[in-house]
This record gives sequence, structure tokens and C-alpha cells, in this order.
Amino acid sequence: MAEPSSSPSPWARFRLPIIVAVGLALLWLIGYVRIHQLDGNLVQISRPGALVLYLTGNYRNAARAYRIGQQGQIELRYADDPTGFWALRAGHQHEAERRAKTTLALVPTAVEPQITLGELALERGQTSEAMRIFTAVLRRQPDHLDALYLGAVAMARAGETGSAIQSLNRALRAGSVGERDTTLYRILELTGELRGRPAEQQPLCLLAHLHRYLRIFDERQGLAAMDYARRAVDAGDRPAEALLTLGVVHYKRGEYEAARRAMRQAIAADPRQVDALRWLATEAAAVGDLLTQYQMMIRVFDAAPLDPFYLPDLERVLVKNLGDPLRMVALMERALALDPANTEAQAQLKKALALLAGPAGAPRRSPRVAALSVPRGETK
Amino acid sequence: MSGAVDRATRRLLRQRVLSLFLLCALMFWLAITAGTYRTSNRLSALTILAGLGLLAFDLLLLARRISNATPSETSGRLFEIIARYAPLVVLNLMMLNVLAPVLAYLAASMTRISLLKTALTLLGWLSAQVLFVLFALGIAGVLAVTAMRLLDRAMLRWRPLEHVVTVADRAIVACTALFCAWAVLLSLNGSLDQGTDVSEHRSEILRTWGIPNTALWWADVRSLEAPGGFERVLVFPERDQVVPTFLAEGQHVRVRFRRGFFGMRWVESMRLDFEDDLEPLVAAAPSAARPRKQLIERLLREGRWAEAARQTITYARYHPDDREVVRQAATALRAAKQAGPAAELDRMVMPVSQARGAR
Repeated sequence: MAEPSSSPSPWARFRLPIIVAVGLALLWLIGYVRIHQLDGNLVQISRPGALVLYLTGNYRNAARAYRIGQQGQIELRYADDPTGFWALRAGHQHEAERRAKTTLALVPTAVEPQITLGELALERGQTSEAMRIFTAVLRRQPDHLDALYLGAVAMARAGETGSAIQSLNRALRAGSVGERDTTLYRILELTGELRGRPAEQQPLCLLAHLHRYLRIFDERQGLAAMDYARRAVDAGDRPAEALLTLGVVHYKRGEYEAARRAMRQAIAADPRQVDALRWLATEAAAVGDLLTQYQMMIRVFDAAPLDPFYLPDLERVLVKNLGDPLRMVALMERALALDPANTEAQAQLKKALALLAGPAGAPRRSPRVAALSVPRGETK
Repeated sequence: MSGAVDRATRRLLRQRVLSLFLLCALMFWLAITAGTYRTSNRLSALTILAGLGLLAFDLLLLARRISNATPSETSGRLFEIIARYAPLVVLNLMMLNVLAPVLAYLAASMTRISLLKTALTLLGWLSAQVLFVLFALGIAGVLAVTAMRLLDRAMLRWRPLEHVVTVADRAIVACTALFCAWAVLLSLNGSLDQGTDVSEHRSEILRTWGIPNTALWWADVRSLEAPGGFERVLVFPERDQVVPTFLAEGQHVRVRFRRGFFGMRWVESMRLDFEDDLEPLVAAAPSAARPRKQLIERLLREGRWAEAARQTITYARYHPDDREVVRQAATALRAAKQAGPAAELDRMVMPVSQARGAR
């Protein structure tokens, strides 16, 4: 085995083809590493130029090129596109407006045509009109994802950075990118616009959130999100929200310890940072740490008693994990005292009371419930 | 019979590339198996790491043997063809990769099992990820063989290097043989252990460390019951039901040990332990049924009778319909000759039973 071979390699004459093959394979590997993390929305075969612009970091023009790639003939009739979205997507603004308005004339309470009109206003650069429309939609449906994302774009353009961040966080907590595939390009375009500003005028925390959204479509955007988040923390630009974004991206990258640290820093910066509290509760649940899960979910409720989004999580901890419907009843009564129209709280209260019902099925109101609960109307 | 085995062994050993390849495969398998039956000794817990490190050296030896090998006439011709048309092979693989989804679809739509269907299914698996692995392995192989050729040339020019390489070569083979023997011992120690000698220790994690982006993570733990040195446990997510990155310094764990067939204690499982959180949890959520029931069970188990009785009374006040817990606690107290607390609990249950009896 140790005997070295002095004869020329039998492969010497194939050196060139092997080098060419290795070169080709290397090129393929580099291309694969660069592209495989991208979502299909960013790899449009019909618009290779858009991908090149995106990969070179020219997000603003890339977004416009991607949008042009979506445009063409309107393939759906009004009957199949009453919201006007597909007409807008295909680039037919007037037709989109006509369809949306027709539908609104027939069904004035329809939400989707309103969102089309809002998106159209964004396309036309009518920021205040877009904001007005999205705000109206969100008043009716506070968790409408497209309205939240597109509303965030309008708010950011109007310079309302804090509201834009709030809107993005509210949408991102649902773990969905929304229904409309145009949203990605609008956020990409906004990111390009904000990054194009002089360094001292860049809204760092908002950029961190925008890159966090883009990370859903391209893993590498997570690095940019983390970079902006750290800079935002250093600059004191909404550090709690920036740390939340840092934590979420760390988590998505499998860096759990760093994620935990960032989330703890977020609640240290703002003890009412409700999404960081919820994240810590979820993480504690994953390892079976009931005490932390309970403490964090109670803090979530204290920080956002009016938000129905967190109530199913609260029920999971209190009722399913701890077997404590008494406490759930008390908390739901508190939530209803603050907002009697909270339908989720009403449903949760009903479920918890059913669990407390006596053997005959009659609701049993334990003396302890009264002690635990705050009487309804106390805050009125 | 032994003559035939002897002849086959000699023939295999003469196949220098094949024998080393099989040794590499064996090394890998043994390293994983030794990890499965992990020991808690701070050095032997690193067996899997040592095995994989040795495997890397074995792969280098394999590359050297390939670079020095004289292929047979048939395989030599085959390699010649592949080498001559290597760029075309790479390009074809890239094209097949693009067509892979179509081929997979075609294979799936064929109802009859045939050679064509099998071939299409195989080609359909040629996803970008598979191609990535193929190309990466190919490039690594070519680079390793080239490096070994360069090493051979350097050895011809500089004789002391030849001596060093020869010694390293033998040392690697010797270490590999020793490792295989040790890994077989560990594997048999765990796999043949059918005994009932199981002990569980409550421990605290001192630190977790490992190789990022791999399954190779260890937790250094110190027993809370028998203080002294620390033990090292290879984290085994499937058995421990926790991923290494969820573990952190200061967390409490329960480590379950088995005696081992050869008396070498090995770790069956290591689970996160939140039993110490029960009292703070009960204090934080006084009306919660589950943690208080668990606390009562623990207090009874630990013989803390008065506290158990007190917790049971509090439980009954929050959950007056759940008589069973009170009854069970009373029974346990009576069995432990704690007549006073048991009678107190009995009094809480009795009126209801009497009332039911009267109905």
C-alpha cells in the first residue's frame, strides 16, 4: 500500500475532459446554491432579467420586471373575476377598477374589491387614498392579510413607519403571505425604495421587517433582516420589534439559543412585546416547560386582552395543558368586560363554562370563579 | 470450509480498493451503532466522533488506493469512456435534471411494471438535490485522487515523506481495527442487555456543545443525587425527545441508565425534567387541576404526608366534583399509617357518599 506509483497516471490523457467536467459541475453547484433557496415566485422563466436584477440586489427594478412578467391578456371574464384582481394583475387598470366598482355597487360590503381599489391606488402612487381604503377594510376585518401587507406598504410610503411595522407584525404572526401574489412584488419594490435612501434616512426597523417578509421567499433575505435588526437596535429604532425580528429569523435559521436570547431581550426592552412573549410561550411548550408557557401566555393576555388572535393559545395552556377552566372563565370575563363584542372571547367563555358544568349539565359557577374574575362592566 | 473462507478473505484483501471501501462502510455503521448504545464516560461518549474522524482518514486512504489502482481491462475501458466523455456526462445529467419531473410523471402514469418504468422512476429521482450530492461527491473524489497523486510525486522526490506516509497509513489501519473492536464491544454491551437493572438520575446540564448543523451534540451533566464529576451524554433526539439546540445550561434532566451486558453502564434516555417547577406552577395557577394532582402524587411518593394532605384539601376546594383524587390520597395516607390526615380527607368525601346512598 505504501509503495508509491512511479508510472504515469492512466488518466493523464483524460486530464482536459475531466477538468472541463469538474468546471461544469462547479458552475452548476454555484448556480444551484444561489437559486435553490428561491421561491418559484422569484424564478419566472419568462422574465430571466427580473431574476438577474433581484440577484444583483436591484429590488426596485426587479419588482417592476416581475410585475411586467405577470401582465398580458385578461384571461378571466368579470363573472370569474368580480374583485378585479386578475384584471389588475394582468395590467389592465381601468378594467380592474370597473370590475371592482361594479361589484361594490352590487355588494357594498364586499372586501376584496376594496382591496383591489387600494392596490390600484398604490399602483397609481395615490398613497393617502390607498391608506384610507386599507384602514377601512381593517376596521371591518382586523386580520385580513392582504389588507395588512398592502396597508403596510401604503403606510411606509406615507412615512408612518410605526404603523407599517405594527401592520407587518400583525400579518406575519399568522404565518401566511396572503392571497395575492402581487403583494410580494409590492413589498420588494418598497424594500428597494427604502434601501435606496441615504443611510441616515433609512427606517432600519421597518427594513428589518420587510426583509423578514422577503425571507419567506428567499432564505438569504434572513441575513439582511438580521443585519437591519441589529442596526435598528443599536440606533434605538424600535428595539423591541427589531429584536423580535432578529429572534424570528434566528429561529427560522435553526439558531434556537440565539432566538431565545433575542426574544428575552425583546421583552426586556418592552415587557408588553406580545409576539415575543407568545414566541417564548410556544418555545416553552415545545420542550414541555409548563411554568414558562403559563407565565408567558398570561403576560400575552395582560398585554393584549382585546386581541382574539391569542385566545386559542391561551385556552391550550390553561384548559388543555393545566386543566384550569376556572382561570379561563375569569380571563374571558375580563376580556368581555373590556370589549363585550369580542366573539372569540364569548366562544371561549362558553367552552370553559361547559367544562365547569355540574354532572347534570347545569352550569356550575364555583365560588372561586367569582373570586378569580373581574365583574363585567367594571371598567366601564 | 475454513479453507474456502480463508481463500475468499485473501482474495478480498487483494482487492485493495474494494476491501478498504468495505472497511469504510463498516466503520460508518459501527460508529452509528456505538452512538446508539452511548456510554456516559466523558471519553467513551465521544466514540461516534472518533469513529467519524477515523472514517475521514479511511476515505483519504481509499482515495490514495484509487489513485494508485490499476483497473481491470473491462473496468479500465469503462472508466476511459467515462473520463473521455466526462463533460458530456455532466451536461446530460444537468439536462436530465431539468426533465426529471416529466420523467417521474411518465413513470407514475405507466401502469405496467417494466424495465422502462423502473428506469424512468430512477431518472425521475434525479432531482437538483441528488445532482448536487452527485456533483459534490464527484468533485471531492477528483480532488482527493489528484491530491493523492501529488502526494505520490512528492514521495518520489523526498524519501522521508514516504516513511511518514507509510507509518500514517499503518497507523490509520491499526486505529481503525481497534475502533471496530471497541465499537463492537459497545454495541454488544447495549444490544445484548436484556436485564432489568435500570437506574434514573436527576441531573443538571452544565453545558451543551457539538458540531453545528450536525447531529453530533453532547450534554455535560452533573448528577443532583450523587454530586461529583460530570458525565457526558450524546444527545439522541429520537430517544430523548428533545433536539440539542433546545437544551441549555442549568436545565434539569432525568438520565436513565442501564447496566450493560458487559457491565459498562450506558444511557437509555435523557429527558428534560420540570418536576421542580411543580410548586411554583401550583402557586402561580392555584386553580389548575393537573399540576396540583401531580404535586400531590409527588408528595405522597416522597412521604411528605402532611403537605400532601394540605394540597389535597386545597385541590378539593377548587374542584369539589373530583372526589377521586381525595379518595386516592386518603387511601395512600391510610396505607402509610397516617390516620389523622387520612381521616380529615375522608370527612371531605363522606358526606357526598352518604347523601348518594340515601337517594
